[in-house]
Amino acid sequence: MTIDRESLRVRYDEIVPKLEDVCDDLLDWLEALTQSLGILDPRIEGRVKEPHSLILKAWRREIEGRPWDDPLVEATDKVGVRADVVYLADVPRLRSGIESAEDVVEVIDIDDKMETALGTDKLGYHGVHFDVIPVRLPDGLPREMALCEIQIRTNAQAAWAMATHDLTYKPPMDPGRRVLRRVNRLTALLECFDEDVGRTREEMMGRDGYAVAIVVGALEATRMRFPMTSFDRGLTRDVVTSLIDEEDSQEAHELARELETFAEENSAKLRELFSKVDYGHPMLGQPEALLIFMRLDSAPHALRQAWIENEFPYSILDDLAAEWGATLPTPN
Amino acid sequence: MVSIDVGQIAVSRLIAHRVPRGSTDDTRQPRLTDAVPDLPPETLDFFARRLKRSLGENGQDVEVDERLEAPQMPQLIMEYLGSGPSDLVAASQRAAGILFDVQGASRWEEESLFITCDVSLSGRAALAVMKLEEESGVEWQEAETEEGETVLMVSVNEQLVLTENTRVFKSALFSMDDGSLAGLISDDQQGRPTRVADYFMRRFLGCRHRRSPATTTQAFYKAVQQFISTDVTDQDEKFELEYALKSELSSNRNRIAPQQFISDYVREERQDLMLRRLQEADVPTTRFPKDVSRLGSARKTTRLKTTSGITIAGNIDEVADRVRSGVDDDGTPVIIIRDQLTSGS
Repeated sequence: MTIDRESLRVRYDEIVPKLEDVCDDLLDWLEALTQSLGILDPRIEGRVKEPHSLILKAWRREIEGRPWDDPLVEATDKVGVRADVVYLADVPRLRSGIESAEDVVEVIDIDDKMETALGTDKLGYHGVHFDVIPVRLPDGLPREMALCEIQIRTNAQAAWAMATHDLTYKPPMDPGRRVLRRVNRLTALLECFDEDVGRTREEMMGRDGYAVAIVVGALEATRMRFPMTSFDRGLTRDVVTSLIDEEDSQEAHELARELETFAEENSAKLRELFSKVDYGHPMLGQPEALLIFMRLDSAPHALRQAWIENEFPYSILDDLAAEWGATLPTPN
Repeated sequence: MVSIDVGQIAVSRLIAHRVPRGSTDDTRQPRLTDAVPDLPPETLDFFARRLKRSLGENGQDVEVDERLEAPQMPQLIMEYLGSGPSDLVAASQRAAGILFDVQGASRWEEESLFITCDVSLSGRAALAVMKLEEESGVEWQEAETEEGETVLMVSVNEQLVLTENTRVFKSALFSMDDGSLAGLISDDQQGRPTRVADYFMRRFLGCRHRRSPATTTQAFYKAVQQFISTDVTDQDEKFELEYALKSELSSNRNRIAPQQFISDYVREERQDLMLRRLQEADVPTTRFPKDVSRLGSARKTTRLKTTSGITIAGNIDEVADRVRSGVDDDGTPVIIIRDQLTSGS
């Protein structure tokens, strides 16, 4: 059967706006999922396949003798979203998160290249690809046309894929043995790189003071966006040490992300408060004031307990609470 | 919920007038000033901090009382907030005049300082008023005698008006919210919050509570009850909290301080959860006036249910005093009631 290009384009154009909604929903969900899993700095992107790409792909399959009956149903990547993560260990965590999100997507197929195509004796691209159908679809988009693809890979795998895509995947000409061998050598390096990055990270996270350093770093970076003065870094470390779990590096990374969001959401209020840094409360100059303000919103009683247990002057917390517009009970 | 985030308060300018109580012979009049003083940012920030603390801890949500006939202050404030660059001097002078009129006459010469503040809430225009009573304060300064001895010189400043613990201090803050006036009012008397004086809230500012104290007290009661039934699983803890709630409601205190209640009676690991539950139930977390009129006798009685379906009901104090639960030597749960049966059916 020969593809009717015009009819395919018209039919595809009709569902593209709905596919764009699906793509946006999947991106939002993946953002939230990676955040809830505490995955550091994921790069999440997605697209709806261009009409001409779909038509070309349909033609190619015809030429290869594997024609689609209906490209709108059989093309699995009309919507493609991708999460590139920093650490190899995050790939299986995210895979498992996607598999268990039955209320969001129905997983039709999983292709884990390491498990399937490569095994133990081959080298090559080893991302994880899912074919999924979102549980909630826009009105008017038939379920059979809503097959989407989700890819998970590391940044290193992404870099390798980008660099070698034109050479080895659908190349205009046979790359030849020498080029393929060179690509394979790179692939071996890629595996070593990802594993060593993971091991290095684990070692770093296991070191004393790592969690505190992460939070102090995030506080300083965030605080610098607002009017600033010199501050006492030792005091910052002491306060942070008393307010977070020093052993939990994962929580520290999550906290760093929460600080980012908090500073964005309260930007005008923080700017106003920190503009008084020269004559206002001395703690306004300290980066940890951000953490205190955040906790006054999210967990004021836990903050108060930690403050009292560490025998910090209660008046400082009380003054900062008043500045933030929060109410604290009087100390017992 | 408080619709104004007091943490955003920034005072950009202010003006003060002296407003006495009127006299029967009309000899007393407000002493009005004519210009906005040029104040350093530290001074403006001091007033902002006092407003934040007072309204943050004791602020009560208010709205314009539509039942009043043409209340002057809401009209004045809405004009001020809605008219672009505003004449703070003229607005504050009119407000001082309204305050003078509603305070009524007194045989005593009482004078208060009435301050109007131009406020920004992260860029949103707002207006605050403060009424302060003058008081005396002690100042000290280290000095040296002719003999070279160090002494602490003490002097009395008779004209202190606003300190961290000012004796009588009423304040209000207003901003436009979806086309209508939203406000917070607080009344601190000698450092203790109190019910906002009627002349200040209703007759001067033309406002009433957004939710009546009776409704708010009932909402607090229901939210705590809900928390006890859904978030607390330990039976002893349930009873302790129930007892604390009913004691709070039966006490002579005329205010409820939710944060203090949580801190005093809820176990540490659940304190922030209960705070969230109150917020979800739209119960203020600042102090609010207590009014138990809608609770009937519920606040004085309690009902305990056992796993076998027996109910123990009675006055909360009697139950707390006479009922004990525990386990006997072989681990069987026991409930002991120290009392005498008087009837049965």
